[in-house]
Amino acid sequence: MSAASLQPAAAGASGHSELVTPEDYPAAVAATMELCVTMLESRATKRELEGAVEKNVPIRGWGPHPSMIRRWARGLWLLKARRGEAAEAGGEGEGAAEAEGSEAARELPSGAVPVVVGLDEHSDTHLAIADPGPLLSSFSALSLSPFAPRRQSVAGTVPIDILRTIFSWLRPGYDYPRIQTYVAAARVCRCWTEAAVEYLWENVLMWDPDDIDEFAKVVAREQRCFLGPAAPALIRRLLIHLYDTGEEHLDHAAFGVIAMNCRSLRSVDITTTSNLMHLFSLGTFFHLWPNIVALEFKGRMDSIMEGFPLTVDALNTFWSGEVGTAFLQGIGRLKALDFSIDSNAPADIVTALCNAVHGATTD
Amino acid sequence: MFHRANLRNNSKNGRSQVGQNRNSKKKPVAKLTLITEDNESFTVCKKVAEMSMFFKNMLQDTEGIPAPFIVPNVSGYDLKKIIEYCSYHCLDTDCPNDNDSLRSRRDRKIGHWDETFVRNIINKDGDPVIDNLVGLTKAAYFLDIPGLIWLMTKSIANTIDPKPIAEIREIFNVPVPSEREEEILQR
Repeated sequence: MSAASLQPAAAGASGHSELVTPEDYPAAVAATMELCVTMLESRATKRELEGAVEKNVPIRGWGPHPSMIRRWARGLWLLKARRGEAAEAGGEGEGAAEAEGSEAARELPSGAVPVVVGLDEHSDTHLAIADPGPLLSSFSALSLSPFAPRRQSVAGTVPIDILRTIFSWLRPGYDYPRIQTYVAAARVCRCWTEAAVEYLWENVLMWDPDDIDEFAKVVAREQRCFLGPAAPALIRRLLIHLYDTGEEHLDHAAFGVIAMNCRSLRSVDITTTSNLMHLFSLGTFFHLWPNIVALEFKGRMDSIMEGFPLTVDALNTFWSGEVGTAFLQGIGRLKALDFSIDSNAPADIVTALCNAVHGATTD
Repeated sequence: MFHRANLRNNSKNGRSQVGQNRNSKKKPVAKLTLITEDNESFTVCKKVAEMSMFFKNMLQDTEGIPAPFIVPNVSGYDLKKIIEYCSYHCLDTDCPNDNDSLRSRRDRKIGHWDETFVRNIINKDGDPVIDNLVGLTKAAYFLDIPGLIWLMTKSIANTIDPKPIAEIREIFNVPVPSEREEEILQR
């Protein structure tokens, strides 16, 4: 940066220097820092923030009163003006600034000084700091500049009801089988995330036993994932299709976790050709969420629980237990049922189980 | 060229229907005047206005009062397009105009007239078309016209459907977020 280009900015800043009094300077710096922190912590978007500073309207979903924003904006301006002065004074000014505002010096480490280099790029009407120090990097990221108007993005202005309707047309199974569209829509902007995530998690389809374990970790929030607020509660349909994926038993614990978290589950669709499932896992869904309306189970099953193979005694114990009772009651309430078992257990027991299940529907 | 010819033809049809309704002297057609928030006034016959549940309820409430309706929240351009849509579809029994039947027929395709109607939504004030699409959808929501809401939302859904995130952002003019914002978004 040449000295000549530095001049106008410094002159402009000193032209307004009567605004900077020693009394309000620490307050301005404190306000600015507060703004920094709030901006980083708040979920307000850049656009909202810009709009707020420009029009003095309160930011949706974000606390502070417009007057506070104005104060912060002024604090920021004051800070900039102060820096302009510091630039004018050169190396000595830096020391002077430290002496005058000890708070400012504490808040702005040495890295903040090169900021003044960038001031010449903007006129002094700008609130944005062109080349901020490390502490103020969030300002450049959010470019808090009401004087550089940009057409407001139309995406943020779509009301959530309309978004929901739009996204409902993208539902899988209605010409649009791509889940990627929801992922893309959810990431377009924050306003869209809420609406898109509702549909993104509506149907969950799993093809692999490992997926089930993974998914259980996700819904239990043990593992980070692209999850919107309360996403497991949005799942309405669970589809587990396992074709020739090994002979192991499917882990009951994973099903327990999934069943416990997916509280709006309406439909369960499980098909396995080789993996073995416990009857107890299936019962858990009905035990926890009696509002399931559809069940499709086509799979292999030869035990009730780990270590309890299908026998007459075990089956009777199961039916008389809490989960077994809830299972039969739940089946009685179903609107759609498709239940068939492939089992290594003796044929009469399998028949007894199927009869019990189908008998429950006629009650 | 083909589409354009059809489009002109269709819009002419739509207009001529309104004209017939307006000019028919034999049966006096109940008409009402609508004034938008930017002071444009439109005269429509009652049947056209009743496509909108908003007007329908209002007409029931204010029966016999010949005062013009002031329509808040709707711009002149949007209302013009809405009247164009309604005057075409008010005689169309094939097009359902209630939420239940629209919801039950999810796989319904967008008709030819509707397609040209959407394509005909032009840039105004140099804004991209999507602004007007969204504006019209909002107006349709406000006036509660299920058929038009269905058409507009479905068109917007078709616009964004198979596209990657960057393209959607471009269409809707969403600024590309910084890495930090992206991180927050993904949280």
